[in-house]
Amino acid sequence: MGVSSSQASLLEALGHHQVVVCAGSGGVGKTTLACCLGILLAQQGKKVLVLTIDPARRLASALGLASDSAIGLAEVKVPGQNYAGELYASMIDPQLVFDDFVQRRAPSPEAAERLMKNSLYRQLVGQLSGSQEFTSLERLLSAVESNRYDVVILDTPPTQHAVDFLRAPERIFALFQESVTKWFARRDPRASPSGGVKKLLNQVVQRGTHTALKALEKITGSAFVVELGDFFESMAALQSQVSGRSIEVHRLLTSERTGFLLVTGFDHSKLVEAKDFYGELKRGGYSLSGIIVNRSQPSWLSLQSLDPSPLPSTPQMRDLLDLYQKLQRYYVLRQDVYGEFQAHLRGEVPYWLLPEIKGPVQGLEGLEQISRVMSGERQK
Amino acid sequence: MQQKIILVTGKGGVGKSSVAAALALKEARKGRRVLLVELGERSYFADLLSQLQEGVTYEPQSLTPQLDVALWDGETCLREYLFHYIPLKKVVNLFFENPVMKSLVRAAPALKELAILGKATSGLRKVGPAFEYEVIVIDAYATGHFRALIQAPRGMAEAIGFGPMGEQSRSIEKWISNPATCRIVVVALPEELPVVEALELGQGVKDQLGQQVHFVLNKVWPLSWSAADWEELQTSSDKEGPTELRAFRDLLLESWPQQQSYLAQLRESGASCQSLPWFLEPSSWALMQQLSEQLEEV
Repeated sequence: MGVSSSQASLLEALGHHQVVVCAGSGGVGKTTLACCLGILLAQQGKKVLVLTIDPARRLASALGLASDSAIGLAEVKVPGQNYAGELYASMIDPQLVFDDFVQRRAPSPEAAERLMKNSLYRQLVGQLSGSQEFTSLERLLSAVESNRYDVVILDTPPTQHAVDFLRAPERIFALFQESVTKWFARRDPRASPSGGVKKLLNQVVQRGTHTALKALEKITGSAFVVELGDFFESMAALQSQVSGRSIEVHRLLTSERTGFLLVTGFDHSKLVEAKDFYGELKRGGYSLSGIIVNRSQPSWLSLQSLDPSPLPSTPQMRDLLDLYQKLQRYYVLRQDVYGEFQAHLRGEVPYWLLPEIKGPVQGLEGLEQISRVMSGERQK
Repeated sequence: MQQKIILVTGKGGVGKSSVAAALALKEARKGRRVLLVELGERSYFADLLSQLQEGVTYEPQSLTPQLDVALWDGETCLREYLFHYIPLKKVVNLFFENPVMKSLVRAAPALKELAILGKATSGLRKVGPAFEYEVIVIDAYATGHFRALIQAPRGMAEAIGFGPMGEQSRSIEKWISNPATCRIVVVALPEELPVVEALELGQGVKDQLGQQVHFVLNKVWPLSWSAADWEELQTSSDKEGPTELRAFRDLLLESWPQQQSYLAQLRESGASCQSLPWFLEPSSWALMQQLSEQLEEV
């Protein structure tokens, strides 16, 4: 049997970690719950930092991240708190983190400038597949290294599937591999870009490379290949830094200091995804410390059957009775899906059901209210 | 008839995929040849619809006689595109087997997004293999990634002004900007966050592509009542029925006007908008059919 209710403590499962990674696909309430967990830990006397990407406006203002001072890489003490510990929050701006990484880690200011001037870098680095994940992890690692916090909670970027988060960094690390950078790198940095490409065409280091590059040039044009070559060559300067950081990130994420919390929804496809994620984490050597099934049912809906006698006298109230009973049947059916999920976990991972709380989250108090529900206290 | 592309997006969890499927069914019922497209590496519809238990692949599978379903991932779209330009299987395979190209394609900025939009517009642009569908409904990415998708053509055209890539990017942008050939449907729930996100995205699309989106407000209370009915409910006795029912009445009296105000906010943005009732239907296939009957054509 798993820990099947919110009475079992979320803090027991997650409280001893130094890093908590909140994962889940978009729209499941991950950011909100990451903040609520932060509140619970701060109430326990810990100094906590919540790192989040692009929180909704109302949530950002509840955390004190809506003001101008919160932009950039600032870590803001959440206003209006009265906890035994302290709660800080920071927004991750992928472009800024990437720029900061380049500036701090490039071998020279000139090398940094060259990369940042590249038009592909400027236009698209924020959208580079995997760059949000890379910057999130880089941000997480620097926060942990700063030793300023007892716990750092990372709200992962929205992905279509929870597992995408784990795979994404590989994609970006792959870009920095020696083979890639070498392939594009021009030997003579003073050569003109087009001359560089010609040289590059002559340096056939791998079987098929020449053909592949020609094919790329044919569909994209030589201008693209030149820019791309420049992009990779500039990136090459960061290669050892990136691979070094990636090893450290991996070490941190697979160590006992880190726990993953999966936030999922109650529909069939979300639960299938949760199963996949669980398997993926296990295979990757990460530890899944808990699963929250969010918005399992509306908090106001009782699944106990109603005694409708005497029948309401107005047609409107009778319509409502109908609707209420329909809602009950709908959510009772969903309990079956939940049962299957429970069976699949075989008690290996604790999970909690959180009811859907009515209305939008209002300020820090609203978040505190949800965290009370999370910790097992009844909502007032 | 000119081909029509419908891109469906919205915040995660709002019912985007169900609405996309319902729109596709609706178009198919009109006798049009329709392709419903999922994006990514795994099929969501295959999990939901028993008709698709064989799985959904890049090659279209038939869901109904008029409606096919396909799963597009950026890499396969790119492969097809490359093969069109260099019709030599060996070269194309060499390209994708090259380890450097492999990691490049997997991570390169906007390349996959561009390939997907390139594939979607290939019929209109008369590029690539024949594409016989009259309507293509794409169950596209959720809000954030969707922005990256529609920004890809211009971003690429600005970064790479010259050459085939720049040309293609501009032509794709032209077709997806034209409301006669490409419509964008943004699905929201009658709750604050999804509505705010939908409005922001609507504005973003207007800025990026110069066209208005079509909003679908999903899961509003399934009560087809007149204003008089609501007034009647307001004045009904507080002692009627079980406690739970009275609490439910109070909740509805509070949330119905809210839902109406979300609908009004979406309409005020200047975009067209419709609402869909919450069907409380556990079967996905039945749900898609019910939704399709309620949906307006876009």
